[in-house]
Amino acid sequence: MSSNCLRIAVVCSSNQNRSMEAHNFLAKKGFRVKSFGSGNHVKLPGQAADKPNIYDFNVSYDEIYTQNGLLHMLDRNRRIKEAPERFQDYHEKFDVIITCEERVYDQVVEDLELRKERTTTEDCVHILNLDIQDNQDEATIGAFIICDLVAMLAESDDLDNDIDEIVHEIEQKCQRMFLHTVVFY
Amino acid sequence: MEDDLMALYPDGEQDSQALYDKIVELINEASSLHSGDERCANLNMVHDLLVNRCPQYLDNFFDEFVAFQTDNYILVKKGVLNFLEAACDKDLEMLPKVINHLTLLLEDEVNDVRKKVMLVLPSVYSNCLRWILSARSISTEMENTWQFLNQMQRKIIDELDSVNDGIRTHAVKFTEGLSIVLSEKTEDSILTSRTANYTTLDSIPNNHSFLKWTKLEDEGKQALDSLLGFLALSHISSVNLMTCIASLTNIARQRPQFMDRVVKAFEALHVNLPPTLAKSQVSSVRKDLKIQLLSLLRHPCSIDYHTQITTLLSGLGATQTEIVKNQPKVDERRGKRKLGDEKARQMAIGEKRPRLEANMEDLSDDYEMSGNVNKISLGEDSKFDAVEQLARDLLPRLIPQNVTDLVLLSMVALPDTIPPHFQSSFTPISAAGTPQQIEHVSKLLASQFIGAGLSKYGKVRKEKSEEVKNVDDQVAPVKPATSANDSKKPVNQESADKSKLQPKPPVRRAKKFKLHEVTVKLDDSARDETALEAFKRVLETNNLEKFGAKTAINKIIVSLVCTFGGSMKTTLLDYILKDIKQQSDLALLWLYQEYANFKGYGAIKSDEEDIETSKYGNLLTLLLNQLQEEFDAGESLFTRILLEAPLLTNEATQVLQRFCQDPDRIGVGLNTLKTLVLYRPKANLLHNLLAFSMNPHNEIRSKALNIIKELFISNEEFRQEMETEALKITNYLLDEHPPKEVFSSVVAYTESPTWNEDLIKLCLNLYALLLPLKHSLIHEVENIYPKIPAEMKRTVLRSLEIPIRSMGMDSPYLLQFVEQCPQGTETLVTRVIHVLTERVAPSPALVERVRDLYEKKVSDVRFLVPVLAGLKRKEVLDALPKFMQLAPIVLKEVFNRALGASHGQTGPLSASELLVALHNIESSKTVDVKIVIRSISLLLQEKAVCTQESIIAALQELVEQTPLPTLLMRTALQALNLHPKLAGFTMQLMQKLVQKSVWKNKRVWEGFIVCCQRTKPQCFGILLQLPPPQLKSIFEVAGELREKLLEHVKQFPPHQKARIARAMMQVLEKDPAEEQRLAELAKKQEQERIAEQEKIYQQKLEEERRTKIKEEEDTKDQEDTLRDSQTDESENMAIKMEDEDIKDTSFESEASEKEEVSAIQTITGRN
Repeated sequence: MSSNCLRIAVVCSSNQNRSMEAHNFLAKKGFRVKSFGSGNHVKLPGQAADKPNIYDFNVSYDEIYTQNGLLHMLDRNRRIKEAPERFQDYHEKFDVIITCEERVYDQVVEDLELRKERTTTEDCVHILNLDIQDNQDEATIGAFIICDLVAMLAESDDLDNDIDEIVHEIEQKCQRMFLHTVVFY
Repeated sequence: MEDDLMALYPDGEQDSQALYDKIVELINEASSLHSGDERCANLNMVHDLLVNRCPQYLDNFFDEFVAFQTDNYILVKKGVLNFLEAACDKDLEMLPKVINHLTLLLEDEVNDVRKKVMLVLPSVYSNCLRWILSARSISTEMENTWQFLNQMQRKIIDELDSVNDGIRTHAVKFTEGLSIVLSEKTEDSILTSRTANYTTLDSIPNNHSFLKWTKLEDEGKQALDSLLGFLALSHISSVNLMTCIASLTNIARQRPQFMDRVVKAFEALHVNLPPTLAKSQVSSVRKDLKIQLLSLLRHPCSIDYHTQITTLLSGLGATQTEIVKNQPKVDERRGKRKLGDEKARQMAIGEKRPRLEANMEDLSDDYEMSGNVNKISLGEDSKFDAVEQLARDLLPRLIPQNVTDLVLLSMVALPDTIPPHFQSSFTPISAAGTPQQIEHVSKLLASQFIGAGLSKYGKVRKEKSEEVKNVDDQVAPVKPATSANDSKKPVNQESADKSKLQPKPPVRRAKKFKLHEVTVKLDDSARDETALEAFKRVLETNNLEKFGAKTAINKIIVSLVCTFGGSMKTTLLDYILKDIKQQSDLALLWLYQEYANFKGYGAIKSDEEDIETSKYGNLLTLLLNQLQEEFDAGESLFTRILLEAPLLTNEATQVLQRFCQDPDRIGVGLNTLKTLVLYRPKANLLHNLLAFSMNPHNEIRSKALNIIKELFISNEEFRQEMETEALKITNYLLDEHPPKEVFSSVVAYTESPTWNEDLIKLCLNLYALLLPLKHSLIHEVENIYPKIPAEMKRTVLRSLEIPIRSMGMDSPYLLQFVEQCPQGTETLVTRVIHVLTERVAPSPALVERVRDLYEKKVSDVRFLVPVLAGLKRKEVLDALPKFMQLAPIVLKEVFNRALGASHGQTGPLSASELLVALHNIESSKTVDVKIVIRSISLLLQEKAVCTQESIIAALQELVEQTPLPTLLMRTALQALNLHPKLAGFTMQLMQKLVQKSVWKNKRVWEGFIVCCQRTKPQCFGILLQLPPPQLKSIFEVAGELREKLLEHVKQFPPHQKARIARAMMQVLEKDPAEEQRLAELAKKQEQERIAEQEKIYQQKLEEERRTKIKEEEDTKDQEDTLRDSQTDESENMAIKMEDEDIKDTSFESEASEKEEVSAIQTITGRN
């Protein structure tokens, strides 16, 4: 399958940071990519997963925006697409779905399992998960890895046959664990 | 998109013409669009319009749409496949077309297309069932379509073993679909939107004429079985595994009757994940399994399996909340009713599903019973049962005391740090100590035991399936075995147990084995060397192997060499040569393998075209050449290879040819050649064998000739070719220069060679060999002999002697040949007759032929010579004058033969008769007297035949004749010279002559006088009987006689003296004075004459002396020739005759020979 043919989705929780970073990279490389969030709400990333965007007063806007890179992030996102999208609400088919967090992976798989009970045509999709911490730096690193991964996937002539090897290779290369499954939906 | 269309065509249903136009427009546009996505979008719209809005146009646009399958954009292709699926769902009559297309697409080279076919096929399959069921009668079209479908089905199920991971995945998906279509819905089935509309097994009536219910049900079960089997594969890839898990879950949800088997399979999988999975894959799989189990848990029918599923889920790390959340919210009553219903339903259709029944019983029965059931159940089932039985054994033993012991013992084996993967996958045991948990632990332990092969159960099962024995016997030993194991095994097992309690992913980074990953690419030389070393080791194994495996090893060796060649080839060759006797089979196997490769019988097909230059040809030549160098040992294999090789190349034939010419091994080579001629007639080696008849090496040639002879006698089929070849070779003699074929490697071929005796002989060998075996060949020589030059003729004659001799004079062909005596072959015929009669007397038949020939065709007396012994007396005598004109040696031969001396028999004539005849010929004046004289003296010299007695007899007869034969006295004198004992007889003879007034015949009288001179003093008596005048005339010639006679007379006693007549005495006495006077007178006269005619007489004398010398020489020469020719008289004679025939210029100058020439000229002139 040629690279421009591969339909890729990147999914994180809020379709703000991690998926958008990857989306940005992949789009620049010319891949057919879409990005989604899988959570119930859109949250902006904070210092930690459970502390989203809590700032003391008197912290200057400049500081808040620039320190956290939020301004940059939002600016970037705005250029990519109009609004964050929720994965569960979107029904187009993909060849590869990359999630950025195990919880997102579970949600995506769960959603697809439900979807397959309603589908009329069956197709195969690979779902891959790479755990990326939800901050600016990790998102960038994650986007690099995803970019590498997608580049390798796109090079393959027979994705279904090669994906095991590719995942193994990328795991070795970046010393990260991937979850990987196949769903027909 | 749909909304777009709705917006565009709000009244679409009414305005179908507009829709039609729109479809046309979209399709046309699609074919001209460049972007694949745009094409896709267009086609999706068309798809939607055709399927959902106006299916009446399906048929119209079907072909146009499907034509897009050739699009190179994969999504368009997939779109076509989706369309195909949807089309036949809408319109069943589309099925034949659809299935035709699918059959083709299943062979597509793009994997993704094939995969998509597998995905759409279950739906098509179900539609096909619907189509067939809806038909009133089954058309041929239906049968064909069904057949195609079945072919695809089998093909895809076979793809479960494909090498391609993706193909396998999709094949699993298809199998899932097939299993669902070919099984019955129940009211608890939770169907998806796809499968809800499926026409499944339950729609098919039991007695349908075309679709056989039981067969289809069986296929469905096989599909499920193959999925379960696939799941249990130890080397399954993670994607396959997850697909399979999902598929089985789908099946279980849609066909709850299989829930039991699926849950069991998951349990088995959980404790025995494939060892080849990588760490992250294990996580993925466990996550997947968890999701699927949760999905099962939600199914109302899973209620009976909740214990198992829950235990599994907690093992997989699901929280209690998750489990509770996913349990179906069914009230107890409904669940009970459902189960009751299910039972009732099963009872109702029990006959239909014996398998299910059995499995249900299996669960509840104790294991003696289940043992019986399991004999008919499948492999994985028996494994589950073994686990379960063992678990049941273990369960009562897991009492606190034992467990504590186990834990304590296993502490020793625990690692110092917790392995990371254990930590990652470990979930605290929530329900520790509950009966369910203990049961689960016992199951885990049991499957570990079975997995490690420590249980009797697994083995017992196996044995049982192989040989059915009494169940009780089998069960009895089980219990003691397990109890005995109790004390020891757990110690070893515990560490495993502990870690496996929460099944851990393998520590080792195990992954699918791929050769190219674990190997390093060697550089060429290192690779070759390693390969060669490996090959050498295989060879060494072969040395050690004494028994059965030898053939197999040989095969391996040969395949290796044939495939890789190179240095392996030389290694193998050396190996074979080192121990030829042992490895001859190997050598032949090798040859055959190469041959098979050449012919393309085997896996490798060489692209060589010419067998001569092929690997096979080269190997054959190489082997033969090498073996040729090995003496004793090599010979047998050399022969064997030539005999057994699948095909002999020209090159190989040439090697054999050289081998045969090796003077040290003539026998071996030629015998091999002979065997080849006999047993490999197709190789056409007879020609080669025959060529050896021209070999200049004596030993080789004679050996070859012996073999040829043997073959000629024993094998009729070779004769024709041999004869043709013999003639062909013989015909070379007609060529101006010897052809190349005549020259072997030994004698170098020059540009324009000349014939020599050796070469001629070589060309005749084969012919000469065959001639005695096939007499009719003699006629062939007629065509050659007259045309060849003289020297060649001579050699030919000599060469043919022996065969002709062995043909014998009884050969009808030979006789015929003699009789016909074709033009130009006279010398040959003569020779033939000579040879035939050399040792034995001529047969009457031969004599007859020769006589005919002589009388009718060629009146050359020389023909008669050999058969003289067989001729009649008169014939001999008639021909005698002609014989006499032949050369002395021939004449001598004539005498010998005529007298029968050659064969120790009596000839037609006796010597005396012959002698008389000779004298009479002189008298008849037909022959020159000189010739007669020569003949007579020749005859007399043959003392063996011409004995004293025969001479006496002849002379006595001759002396009686009147007039006296001229040569009588000459003969008598010669006889006396040769036989001094004849003196007495001579006296008698002279006596007789005196009585017959011998002096009247002048010649005889002269002879008489000479005879008197020779025979003095015996002749004195005779002299005294002569009348005085005659006596006087004697004295005039021979004066010395008078004195002697006078002395003799003076010594007479007086009375005797008195009887001498006076006149006689006067003659005696008167002479001395007169003599003296005469002498003086003569002296004077002589002196005067000398004085007067000195000069004149000088010359005369000179002349006289010269003539005398010449005469002496002549006689001397004659004697020499005679002596020489004694040794090989017949041969010389033949040659001389021939010389004359061809009018050789270097002719002998002897007078006699000249005479003969003229004689022959007259003969030929007469002809």
